Amino acid sequence: MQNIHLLMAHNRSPMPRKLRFKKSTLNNKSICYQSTAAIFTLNEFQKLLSFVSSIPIIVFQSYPIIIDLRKSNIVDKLVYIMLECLCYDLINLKSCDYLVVYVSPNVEITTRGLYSSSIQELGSTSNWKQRKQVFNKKFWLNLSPLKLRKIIKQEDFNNDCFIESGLTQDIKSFLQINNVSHEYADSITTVISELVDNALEHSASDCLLDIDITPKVYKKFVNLTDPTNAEKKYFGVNVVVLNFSDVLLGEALQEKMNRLRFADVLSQRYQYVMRALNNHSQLFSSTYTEGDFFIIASYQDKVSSRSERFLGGTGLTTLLQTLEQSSDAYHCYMLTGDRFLQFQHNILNLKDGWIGFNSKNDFLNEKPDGECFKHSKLYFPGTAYNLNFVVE
Amino acid sequence: MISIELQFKKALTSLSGNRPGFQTYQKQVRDVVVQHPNEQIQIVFPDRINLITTSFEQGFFNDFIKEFGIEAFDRRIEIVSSIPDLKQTIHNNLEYR
Repeated sequence: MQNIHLLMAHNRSPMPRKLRFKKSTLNNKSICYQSTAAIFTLNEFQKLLSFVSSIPIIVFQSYPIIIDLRKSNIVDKLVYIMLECLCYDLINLKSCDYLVVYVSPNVEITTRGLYSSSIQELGSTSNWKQRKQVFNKKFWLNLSPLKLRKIIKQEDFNNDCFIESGLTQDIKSFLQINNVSHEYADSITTVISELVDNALEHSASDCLLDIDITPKVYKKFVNLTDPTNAEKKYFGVNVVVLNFSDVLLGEALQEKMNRLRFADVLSQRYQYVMRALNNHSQLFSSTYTEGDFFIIASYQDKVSSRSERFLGGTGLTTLLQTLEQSSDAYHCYMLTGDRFLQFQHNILNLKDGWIGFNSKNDFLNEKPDGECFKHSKLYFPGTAYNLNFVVE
Repeated sequence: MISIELQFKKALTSLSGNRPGFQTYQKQVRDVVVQHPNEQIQIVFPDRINLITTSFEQGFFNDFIKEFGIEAFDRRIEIVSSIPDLKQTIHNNLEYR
Protein backbone atom coordinates (compact mmCIF):
# COMPACT_ATOMS: atom_id res chain seq x y z
CA MET A 1 0.00 0.00 0.00
CA GLN A 2 1.38 3.37 -1.02
CA ASN A 3 3.22 5.39 1.62
CA ILE A 4 2.38 2.97 4.44
CA HIS A 5 5.99 3.32 5.64
CA LEU A 6 5.22 6.94 6.60
CA LEU A 7 3.31 5.77 9.69
CA MET A 8 6.46 4.52 11.38
CA ALA A 9 8.66 7.16 9.79
CA HIS A 10 6.67 10.01 11.34
CA ASN A 11 6.43 8.45 14.79
CA ARG A 12 10.07 7.64 15.45
CA SER A 13 11.40 7.67 18.94
CA PRO A 14 13.46 10.84 19.42
CA MET A 15 16.07 8.95 21.43
CA PRO A 16 17.64 5.63 20.48
CA ARG A 17 16.48 2.85 22.78
CA LYS A 18 18.44 0.15 24.41
CA LEU A 19 16.92 -3.01 23.10
CA ARG A 20 16.24 -5.81 25.48
CA PHE A 21 15.99 -9.31 24.30
CA LYS A 22 13.56 -11.67 25.91
CA LYS A 23 13.61 -15.36 25.82
CA SER A 24 10.69 -16.80 23.99
CA THR A 25 9.47 -20.16 22.83
CA LEU A 26 10.19 -19.18 19.26
CA ASN A 27 13.84 -18.83 18.97
CA ASN A 28 15.28 -18.40 22.41
CA LYS A 29 15.59 -14.67 21.75
CA SER A 30 12.98 -12.19 20.55
CA ILE A 31 12.04 -8.51 20.77
CA CYS A 32 8.89 -8.12 22.79
CA TYR A 33 6.58 -5.19 23.30
CA GLN A 34 3.91 -5.66 25.93
CA SER A 35 1.22 -3.11 26.65
CA THR A 36 -0.04 -2.95 30.22
CA ALA A 37 -2.48 -0.10 29.65
CA ALA A 38 -6.10 -1.03 30.41
CA ILE A 39 -7.21 0.69 27.20
CA PHE A 40 -5.04 0.66 24.09
CA THR A 41 -5.66 4.18 22.84
CA LEU A 42 -4.18 6.27 20.05
CA ASN A 43 -1.49 7.41 22.49
CA GLU A 44 -0.69 3.82 23.43
CA PHE A 45 -0.42 2.95 19.75
CA GLN A 46 1.96 5.87 19.30
CA LYS A 47 4.18 4.38 22.05
CA LEU A 48 4.20 1.07 20.21
CA LEU A 49 5.13 2.83 16.95
CA SER A 50 7.86 4.74 18.71
CA PHE A 51 9.28 1.52 20.14
CA VAL A 52 9.13 -0.39 16.88
CA SER A 53 10.63 2.46 14.87
CA SER A 54 13.69 2.43 17.11
CA ILE A 55 14.54 -1.15 16.12
CA PRO A 56 17.21 -1.35 13.43
CA ILE A 57 16.06 -3.15 10.30
CA ILE A 58 18.82 -5.74 10.64
CA VAL A 59 17.26 -6.74 13.95
CA PHE A 60 13.81 -7.14 12.36
CA GLN A 61 15.33 -9.45 9.83
CA SER A 62 17.15 -11.55 12.42
CA TYR A 63 14.88 -11.86 15.44
CA PRO A 64 11.19 -12.53 16.04
CA ILE A 65 9.08 -9.56 17.07
CA ILE A 66 6.26 -10.13 19.56
CA ILE A 67 3.58 -7.51 20.15
CA ASP A 68 1.53 -8.50 23.17
CA LEU A 69 -1.66 -6.51 23.75
CA ARG A 70 -3.55 -9.17 25.70
CA LYS A 71 -3.77 -7.02 28.80
CA SER A 72 -5.25 -4.07 26.90
CA ASN A 73 -8.64 -3.52 25.31
CA ILE A 74 -8.32 -1.76 21.98
CA VAL A 75 -10.28 1.48 22.14
CA ASP A 76 -11.71 1.68 18.62
CA LYS A 77 -11.57 0.42 15.06
CA LEU A 78 -9.01 2.89 13.73
CA VAL A 79 -6.46 1.75 16.30
CA TYR A 80 -6.57 -1.89 15.25
CA ILE A 81 -6.65 -0.97 11.57
CA MET A 82 -3.47 1.07 12.10
CA LEU A 83 -2.03 -1.93 13.93
CA GLU A 84 -2.74 -3.98 10.80
CA CYS A 85 -0.92 -1.32 8.75
CA LEU A 86 2.07 -1.45 11.08
CA CYS A 87 2.19 -5.24 10.75
CA TYR A 88 1.94 -4.98 6.97
CA ASP A 89 4.89 -2.58 6.95
CA LEU A 90 6.95 -4.84 9.23
CA ILE A 91 6.24 -7.98 7.21
CA ASN A 92 6.50 -6.63 3.69
CA LEU A 93 8.70 -3.54 3.76
CA LYS A 94 10.94 -4.22 6.75
CA SER A 95 11.16 -7.96 5.90
CA CYS A 96 10.47 -8.92 9.47
CA ASP A 97 11.82 -12.39 10.15
CA TYR A 98 8.90 -13.41 12.31
CA LEU A 99 6.02 -11.43 13.76
CA VAL A 100 3.52 -12.49 16.40
CA VAL A 101 0.71 -10.25 17.58
CA TYR A 102 -1.52 -11.13 20.52
CA VAL A 103 -4.68 -9.12 21.08
CA SER A 104 -7.26 -9.24 23.82
CA PRO A 105 -10.42 -11.21 23.02
CA ASN A 106 -12.48 -8.54 24.82
CA VAL A 107 -14.30 -6.38 22.31
CA GLU A 108 -17.04 -3.77 22.40
CA ILE A 109 -19.69 -2.97 19.82
CA THR A 110 -17.22 -0.59 18.14
CA THR A 111 -14.34 -3.07 17.99
CA ARG A 112 -16.14 -6.31 17.22
CA GLY A 113 -14.59 -6.23 13.76
CA LEU A 114 -11.33 -7.22 15.47
CA TYR A 115 -12.58 -10.82 15.35
CA SER A 116 -12.27 -10.80 11.55
CA SER A 117 -9.17 -8.61 11.36
CA SER A 118 -6.13 -9.86 9.47
CA ILE A 119 -4.24 -9.45 12.76
CA GLN A 120 -5.83 -12.69 13.99
CA GLU A 121 -3.61 -14.50 11.47
CA LEU A 122 -0.57 -13.35 13.43
CA GLY A 123 -1.70 -14.67 16.81
CA SER A 124 0.05 -18.00 16.56
CA THR A 125 3.62 -19.22 16.45
CA SER A 126 3.15 -21.97 13.87
CA ASN A 127 3.10 -21.99 10.05
CA TRP A 128 4.60 -18.53 9.71
CA LYS A 129 4.82 -18.58 5.90
CA GLN A 130 1.20 -19.57 5.47
CA ARG A 131 -0.02 -17.12 8.09
CA LYS A 132 1.95 -14.33 6.43
CA GLN A 133 0.28 -15.11 3.10
CA VAL A 134 -3.19 -15.17 4.59
CA PHE A 135 -2.52 -11.95 6.50
CA ASN A 136 -1.42 -10.19 3.32
CA LYS A 137 -4.41 -11.47 1.39
CA LYS A 138 -6.87 -10.33 4.04
CA PHE A 139 -5.09 -7.02 4.43
CA TRP A 140 -5.85 -6.15 0.81
CA LEU A 141 -9.25 -7.73 0.42
CA ASN A 142 -11.55 -9.34 2.94
CA LEU A 143 -15.20 -9.89 2.17
CA SER A 144 -17.56 -11.78 4.42
CA PRO A 145 -21.21 -11.40 5.43
CA LEU A 146 -20.33 -8.89 8.16
CA LYS A 147 -17.20 -7.33 6.73
CA LEU A 148 -16.18 -5.35 3.69
CA ARG A 149 -12.51 -4.58 3.40
CA LYS A 150 -10.91 -3.16 0.26
CA ILE A 151 -7.86 -1.16 -0.65
CA ILE A 152 -8.48 0.97 -3.70
CA LYS A 153 -5.27 1.56 -5.55
CA GLN A 154 -4.57 5.01 -6.91
CA GLU A 155 -3.43 3.42 -10.15
CA ASP A 156 -6.82 1.70 -10.61
CA PHE A 157 -8.61 4.95 -9.75
CA ASN A 158 -6.64 6.72 -12.47
CA ASN A 159 -7.39 4.02 -15.04
CA ASP A 160 -11.09 3.52 -14.40
CA CYS A 161 -13.30 6.54 -14.10
CA PHE A 162 -16.19 4.58 -12.63
CA ILE A 163 -14.34 2.58 -10.00
CA GLU A 164 -15.87 4.74 -7.28
CA SER A 165 -19.36 4.03 -8.59
CA GLY A 166 -18.70 0.30 -8.42
CA LEU A 167 -17.45 0.65 -4.85
CA THR A 168 -20.48 2.75 -3.89
CA GLN A 169 -22.70 0.01 -5.18
CA ASP A 170 -20.80 -2.65 -3.23
CA ILE A 171 -21.11 -0.64 -0.02
CA LYS A 172 -24.84 -0.10 -0.45
CA SER A 173 -25.45 -3.77 -1.25
CA PHE A 174 -23.36 -4.85 1.73
CA LEU A 175 -25.38 -2.64 4.08
CA GLN A 176 -28.73 -3.74 2.69
CA ILE A 177 -27.82 -7.43 2.90
CA ASN A 178 -27.26 -6.75 6.59
CA ASN A 179 -30.76 -5.30 6.93
CA VAL A 180 -29.68 -1.69 7.33
CA SER A 181 -32.72 0.41 6.40
CA HIS A 182 -32.82 1.88 2.91
CA GLU A 183 -32.49 5.52 3.97
CA TYR A 184 -29.77 4.84 6.50
CA ALA A 185 -27.86 2.70 3.98
CA ASP A 186 -28.04 5.54 1.44
CA SER A 187 -26.71 8.05 3.98
CA ILE A 188 -23.82 5.89 5.20
CA THR A 189 -22.97 4.88 1.63
CA THR A 190 -22.86 8.50 0.55
CA VAL A 191 -20.62 9.50 3.46
CA ILE A 192 -18.18 6.66 2.84
CA SER A 193 -18.14 7.23 -0.93
CA GLU A 194 -17.38 10.90 -0.52
CA LEU A 195 -14.56 10.16 1.92
CA VAL A 196 -13.03 7.61 -0.44
CA ASP A 197 -13.42 9.97 -3.41
CA ASN A 198 -11.71 12.78 -1.46
CA ALA A 199 -8.87 10.50 -0.42
CA LEU A 200 -8.19 9.23 -3.94
CA GLU A 201 -8.59 12.56 -5.66
CA HIS A 202 -6.81 14.92 -3.29
CA SER A 203 -4.09 12.77 -1.74
CA ALA A 204 -3.05 10.88 -4.90
CA SER A 205 -2.58 7.77 -2.79
CA ASP A 206 -4.18 4.35 -2.20
CA CYS A 207 -7.26 4.37 0.02
CA LEU A 208 -8.10 1.72 2.64
CA LEU A 209 -11.77 1.11 3.43
CA ASP A 210 -12.96 -1.26 6.15
CA ILE A 211 -16.59 -1.65 7.21
CA ASP A 212 -17.88 -4.14 9.74
CA ILE A 213 -21.40 -4.66 10.99
CA THR A 214 -22.07 -6.35 14.29
CA PRO A 215 -24.88 -8.77 15.00
CA LYS A 216 -27.95 -7.14 16.54
CA VAL A 217 -27.27 -8.47 20.02
CA TYR A 218 -26.26 -5.47 22.06
CA LYS A 219 -28.39 -3.89 24.75
CA LYS A 220 -28.01 -0.50 26.36
CA PHE A 221 -26.97 -0.69 29.97
CA VAL A 222 -29.35 2.11 30.96
CA ASN A 223 -32.27 0.24 29.40
CA LEU A 224 -31.84 -2.83 31.56
CA THR A 225 -33.83 -1.27 34.41
CA ASP A 226 -36.48 0.18 32.10
CA PRO A 227 -39.16 -2.46 31.32
CA THR A 228 -40.33 -0.71 28.15
CA ASN A 229 -36.86 -0.65 26.63
CA ALA A 230 -35.14 -3.60 28.27
CA GLU A 231 -35.53 -5.85 25.24
CA LYS A 232 -34.34 -3.30 22.69
CA LYS A 233 -31.34 -4.50 20.78
CA TYR A 234 -28.76 -2.60 18.81
CA PHE A 235 -26.12 -3.26 16.20
CA GLY A 236 -23.02 -1.34 15.22
CA VAL A 237 -21.84 -0.06 11.87
CA ASN A 238 -18.10 0.61 12.12
CA VAL A 239 -16.11 2.29 9.36
CA VAL A 240 -12.51 3.29 8.78
CA VAL A 241 -11.36 5.21 5.71
CA LEU A 242 -7.71 6.13 5.53
CA ASN A 243 -4.89 6.99 3.19
CA PHE A 244 -1.19 7.56 3.75
CA SER A 245 0.20 10.63 2.09
CA ASP A 246 2.48 13.61 2.53
CA VAL A 247 -0.59 15.74 1.79
CA LEU A 248 -2.65 16.48 4.91
CA LEU A 249 -6.27 17.57 5.03
CA GLY A 250 -6.62 21.29 4.49
CA GLU A 251 -3.31 21.83 2.70
CA ALA A 252 -4.78 21.73 -0.80
CA LEU A 253 -7.49 24.22 0.17
CA GLN A 254 -4.87 26.46 1.78
CA GLU A 255 -2.91 26.49 -1.48
CA LYS A 256 -6.04 27.23 -3.47
CA MET A 257 -7.01 30.13 -1.21
CA ASN A 258 -3.48 31.55 -1.42
CA ARG A 259 -3.88 31.60 -5.21
CA LEU A 260 -7.37 33.09 -4.98
CA ARG A 261 -6.21 36.00 -2.81
CA PHE A 262 -5.20 37.73 -6.02
CA ALA A 263 -8.21 36.71 -8.11
CA ASP A 264 -10.38 39.46 -9.57
CA VAL A 265 -13.61 37.56 -9.11
CA LEU A 266 -14.34 35.33 -6.15
CA SER A 267 -17.57 33.49 -5.46
CA GLN A 268 -19.54 34.55 -2.39
CA ARG A 269 -18.69 31.32 -0.66
CA TYR A 270 -14.94 31.85 -0.98
CA GLN A 271 -15.22 35.53 -0.09
CA TYR A 272 -16.76 34.40 3.17
CA VAL A 273 -13.92 31.96 3.77
CA MET A 274 -11.44 34.79 3.18
CA ARG A 275 -13.28 36.98 5.71
CA ALA A 276 -13.28 34.13 8.21
CA LEU A 277 -9.56 33.60 7.63
CA ASN A 278 -8.87 37.28 8.31
CA ASN A 279 -10.88 37.11 11.55
CA HIS A 280 -9.31 33.85 12.66
CA SER A 281 -5.80 35.13 11.98
CA GLN A 282 -6.26 37.31 15.10
CA LEU A 283 -6.71 34.10 17.08
CA PHE A 284 -3.76 32.10 15.71
CA SER A 285 -1.34 30.77 18.30
CA SER A 286 0.86 27.76 18.94
CA THR A 287 -2.28 25.72 19.58
CA TYR A 288 -4.46 27.04 16.75
CA THR A 289 -2.76 27.70 13.42
CA GLU A 290 -3.65 28.71 9.87
CA GLY A 291 -3.37 25.04 8.91
CA ASP A 292 -6.03 24.23 11.50
CA PHE A 293 -8.33 26.88 10.04
CA PHE A 294 -8.11 25.22 6.66
CA ILE A 295 -8.95 21.82 8.12
CA ILE A 296 -12.20 23.28 9.43
CA ALA A 297 -12.79 25.18 6.20
CA SER A 298 -12.43 21.93 4.23
CA TYR A 299 -15.58 20.62 5.87
CA GLN A 300 -17.76 23.55 4.90
CA ASP A 301 -20.51 22.88 2.40
CA LYS A 302 -19.59 23.86 -1.17
CA VAL A 303 -15.97 24.70 -0.28
CA SER A 304 -13.49 22.61 -2.19
CA SER A 305 -9.80 22.41 -2.90
CA ARG A 306 -10.54 21.66 -6.56
CA SER A 307 -9.52 24.41 -8.94
CA GLU A 308 -11.96 27.24 -9.43
CA ARG A 309 -12.94 25.57 -12.72
CA PHE A 310 -14.77 22.90 -10.79
CA LEU A 311 -17.70 22.94 -8.46
CA GLY A 312 -17.21 20.95 -5.32
CA GLY A 313 -17.51 20.59 -1.58
CA THR A 314 -19.95 17.94 -0.45
CA GLY A 315 -20.66 19.14 3.05
CA LEU A 316 -19.47 16.03 4.77
CA THR A 317 -20.52 17.33 8.10
CA THR A 318 -24.09 17.76 6.91
CA LEU A 319 -24.10 14.12 5.98
CA LEU A 320 -22.59 13.15 9.31
CA GLN A 321 -25.20 15.18 11.10
CA THR A 322 -27.91 13.28 9.27
CA LEU A 323 -26.39 10.00 10.35
CA GLU A 324 -25.95 11.20 13.89
CA GLN A 325 -29.62 12.12 14.08
CA SER A 326 -30.55 8.66 12.86
CA SER A 327 -28.19 6.81 15.17
CA ASP A 328 -28.71 5.97 18.76
CA ALA A 329 -25.08 6.74 19.49
CA TYR A 330 -22.07 7.63 17.49
CA HIS A 331 -18.33 8.12 17.82
CA CYS A 332 -16.73 9.78 14.81
CA TYR A 333 -13.38 11.48 14.48
CA MET A 334 -10.67 12.37 12.01
CA LEU A 335 -6.89 12.37 12.26
CA THR A 336 -4.57 14.27 9.96
CA GLY A 337 -0.98 14.96 10.88
CA ASP A 338 -1.00 15.75 14.58
CA ARG A 339 -4.54 17.13 14.52
CA PHE A 340 -7.52 15.29 15.98
CA LEU A 341 -11.07 16.41 15.19
CA GLN A 342 -14.02 14.80 16.92
CA PHE A 343 -17.39 15.20 15.20
CA GLN A 344 -19.50 15.85 18.30
CA HIS A 345 -23.13 16.62 17.56
CA ASN A 346 -23.20 19.90 19.50
CA ILE A 347 -20.55 21.48 17.26
CA LEU A 348 -21.93 20.36 13.91
CA ASN A 349 -24.93 22.68 13.75
CA LEU A 350 -25.36 24.75 10.61
CA LYS A 351 -25.73 28.51 11.09
CA ASP A 352 -26.33 30.55 7.95
CA GLY A 353 -24.91 27.63 5.96
CA TRP A 354 -21.66 27.35 7.91
CA ILE A 355 -20.45 24.98 10.64
CA GLY A 356 -18.48 26.60 13.44
CA PHE A 357 -17.12 23.50 15.17
CA ASN A 358 -17.72 25.45 18.37
CA SER A 359 -20.55 25.84 20.88
CA LYS A 360 -21.50 29.23 19.37
CA ASN A 361 -21.89 27.69 15.88
CA ASP A 362 -19.85 30.61 14.58
CA PHE A 363 -17.42 29.83 11.73
CA LEU A 364 -16.81 33.48 10.81
CA ASN A 365 -15.46 34.73 14.12
CA GLU A 366 -14.78 31.87 16.55
CA LYS A 367 -12.13 29.21 16.52
CA PRO A 368 -13.09 25.54 16.95
CA ASP A 369 -13.81 24.18 20.40
CA GLY A 370 -10.60 22.94 22.00
CA GLU A 371 -12.33 19.84 23.38
CA CYS A 372 -13.15 18.63 19.88
CA PHE A 373 -10.18 19.86 17.90
CA LYS A 374 -6.84 19.18 19.48
CA HIS A 375 -3.29 18.01 19.25
CA SER A 376 -2.58 14.31 18.81
CA LYS A 377 0.62 12.69 20.04
CA LEU A 378 0.22 10.19 17.26
CA TYR A 379 1.15 11.71 13.94
CA PHE A 380 -1.01 10.35 11.13
CA PRO A 381 0.67 10.93 7.75
CA GLY A 382 -2.40 11.43 5.58
CA THR A 383 -6.04 11.42 6.68
CA ALA A 384 -7.92 8.80 8.67
CA TYR A 385 -11.56 8.59 9.69
CA ASN A 386 -13.06 6.46 12.43
CA LEU A 387 -16.86 6.31 12.21
CA ASN A 388 -18.86 4.22 14.66
CA PHE A 389 -22.65 4.24 14.60
CA VAL A 390 -24.95 2.38 16.96
CA VAL A 391 -28.34 1.69 15.44
CA GLU A 392 -31.54 0.21 16.82
CA MET B 1 -37.71 19.53 -25.34
CA ILE B 2 -34.72 17.35 -26.15
CA SER B 3 -34.39 14.12 -24.21
CA ILE B 4 -30.99 12.53 -23.46
CA GLU B 5 -30.97 9.00 -22.07
CA LEU B 6 -27.70 8.58 -20.25
CA GLN B 7 -25.74 5.43 -20.92
CA PHE B 8 -23.73 3.60 -18.25
CA LYS B 9 -22.34 0.08 -17.90
CA LYS B 10 -25.28 -2.26 -17.32
CA ALA B 11 -23.88 -3.46 -14.00
CA LEU B 12 -23.85 0.02 -12.45
CA THR B 13 -26.66 0.96 -10.07
CA SER B 14 -24.84 3.80 -8.25
CA LEU B 15 -22.98 6.86 -9.52
CA SER B 16 -20.22 8.47 -7.50
CA GLY B 17 -17.27 10.80 -7.99
CA ASN B 18 -16.71 14.26 -9.41
CA ARG B 19 -14.58 13.07 -12.31
CA PRO B 20 -17.04 10.49 -13.74
CA GLY B 21 -19.83 13.04 -13.39
CA PHE B 22 -17.82 15.58 -15.32
CA GLN B 23 -16.87 13.09 -18.04
CA THR B 24 -20.45 11.86 -18.45
CA TYR B 25 -21.68 15.38 -19.06
CA GLN B 26 -18.85 16.11 -21.49
CA LYS B 27 -19.40 12.95 -23.51
CA GLN B 28 -23.18 12.64 -23.50
CA VAL B 29 -24.80 16.00 -22.80
CA ARG B 30 -22.64 19.04 -23.43
CA ASP B 31 -22.84 19.14 -27.23
CA VAL B 32 -26.63 18.97 -27.14
CA VAL B 33 -26.84 21.79 -24.59
CA VAL B 34 -24.49 24.01 -26.58
CA GLN B 35 -26.12 23.32 -29.95
CA HIS B 36 -29.64 23.96 -28.61
CA PRO B 37 -29.22 26.96 -26.28
CA ASN B 38 -32.91 27.77 -26.11
CA GLU B 39 -34.31 24.30 -25.72
CA GLN B 40 -35.36 22.54 -22.56
CA ILE B 41 -33.20 19.49 -21.91
CA GLN B 42 -34.55 16.32 -20.32
CA ILE B 43 -31.82 14.18 -18.73
CA VAL B 44 -32.89 10.62 -18.16
CA PHE B 45 -31.01 8.42 -15.71
CA PRO B 46 -31.61 4.68 -16.17
CA ASP B 47 -34.17 3.33 -13.72
CA ARG B 48 -31.64 0.95 -12.22
CA ILE B 49 -29.58 3.91 -10.91
CA ASN B 50 -30.76 4.17 -7.30
CA LEU B 51 -28.03 6.27 -5.70
CA ILE B 52 -26.17 9.32 -6.99
CA THR B 53 -23.70 11.03 -4.70
CA THR B 54 -23.22 14.76 -4.38
CA SER B 55 -19.76 14.66 -5.95
CA PHE B 56 -21.16 13.06 -9.12
CA GLU B 57 -23.95 15.65 -9.33
CA GLN B 58 -21.47 18.49 -8.93
CA GLY B 59 -19.07 17.07 -11.49
CA PHE B 60 -21.91 16.44 -13.95
CA PHE B 61 -23.38 19.91 -13.81
CA ASN B 62 -20.10 21.74 -13.31
CA ASP B 63 -19.79 23.16 -16.83
CA PHE B 64 -23.51 23.85 -17.19
CA ILE B 65 -23.58 25.98 -14.04
CA LYS B 66 -20.38 27.79 -14.94
CA GLU B 67 -21.73 28.65 -18.39
CA PHE B 68 -25.40 29.27 -17.76
CA GLY B 69 -25.97 29.60 -14.01
CA ILE B 70 -28.31 28.01 -11.51
CA GLU B 71 -31.36 29.84 -12.87
CA ALA B 72 -30.85 28.17 -16.24
CA PHE B 73 -30.60 24.81 -14.46
CA ASP B 74 -33.97 25.44 -12.82
CA ARG B 75 -35.54 26.64 -16.04
CA ARG B 76 -34.04 24.43 -18.74
CA ILE B 77 -33.21 21.11 -17.11
CA GLU B 78 -35.68 18.34 -16.38
CA ILE B 79 -34.43 15.24 -14.55
CA VAL B 80 -36.03 11.82 -14.99
CA SER B 81 -34.92 9.24 -12.46
CA SER B 82 -36.19 6.53 -10.15
CA ILE B 83 -34.67 8.58 -7.29
CA PRO B 84 -37.39 10.78 -5.79
CA ASP B 85 -36.93 14.58 -5.92
CA LEU B 86 -33.56 14.25 -7.63
CA LYS B 87 -33.74 17.65 -9.34
CA GLN B 88 -34.36 19.43 -6.02
CA THR B 89 -31.51 17.49 -4.38
CA ILE B 90 -29.16 18.44 -7.21
CA HIS B 91 -30.25 22.08 -6.99
CA ASN B 92 -29.40 22.10 -3.26
CA ASN B 93 -25.99 20.56 -3.90
CA LEU B 94 -24.78 22.89 -6.63
CA GLU B 95 -22.51 25.82 -5.83
CA TYR B 96 -23.85 29.30 -6.29
CA ARG B 97 -21.86 32.12 -7.93
